[in-house]
Amino acid sequence: MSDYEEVRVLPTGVYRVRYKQLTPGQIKALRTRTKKKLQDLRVKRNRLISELNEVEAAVEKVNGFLEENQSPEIDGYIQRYEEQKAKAGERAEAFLRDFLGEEGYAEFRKDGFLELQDTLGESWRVYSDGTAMRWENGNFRRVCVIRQRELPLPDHIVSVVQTIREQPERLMNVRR
Amino acid sequence: MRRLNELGHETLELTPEEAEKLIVSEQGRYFVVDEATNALLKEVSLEPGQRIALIPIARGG
Repeated sequence: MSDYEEVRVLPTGVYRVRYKQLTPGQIKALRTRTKKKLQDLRVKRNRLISELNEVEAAVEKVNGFLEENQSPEIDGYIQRYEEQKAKAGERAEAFLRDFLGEEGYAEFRKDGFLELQDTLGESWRVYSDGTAMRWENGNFRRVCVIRQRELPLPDHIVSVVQTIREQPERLMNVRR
Repeated sequence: MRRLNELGHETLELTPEEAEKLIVSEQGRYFVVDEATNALLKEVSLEPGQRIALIPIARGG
């Protein structure tokens, strides 16, 4: 008996099949390799099952967290917060208008910035996005002003304008 | 009294004494401005019915 090959005609096509004769040693080696492969596959399967369990636990946890965060009570809280924030924004805008005066406010909204001088005679600009610039060496240079968290933008602008008018030294050395 | 703070735009109805106490406790954090005149108040001495605004002092970063 030795290796041989044959041609087989099957419904799916015509095939050339090669048969290789195995010696007892090769059979043992093949068994050993197959057992090793089976063992590796089982290890891999167990690892994947373990990972899958971890992922499923994480999904459950996140899902539970999401469900808790979608309660009508929390939705109501968010809605109240957003309404409050919108009202605060409206009041802040009205206050900015009063603070700058009708004419100053109209110019500010038209130009997108307000030009002002501090007590030391330095020129500044405060922009409608809340940034501030100081005239220095022939240019307006941006200064870094921290905006308080949750402070409506118009209030921030009022705060920056008032600080420049009264205590400009607080913002003098904070170039961006 | 109108206080511009991190909670948003807040309006408080306070007696002059309560307002003065609050202003003192927040000293150094706010400018105190008379809303009728937009003038900065240097001294904390308020009248009943006076409308004031506490404007946060901007800080550089």
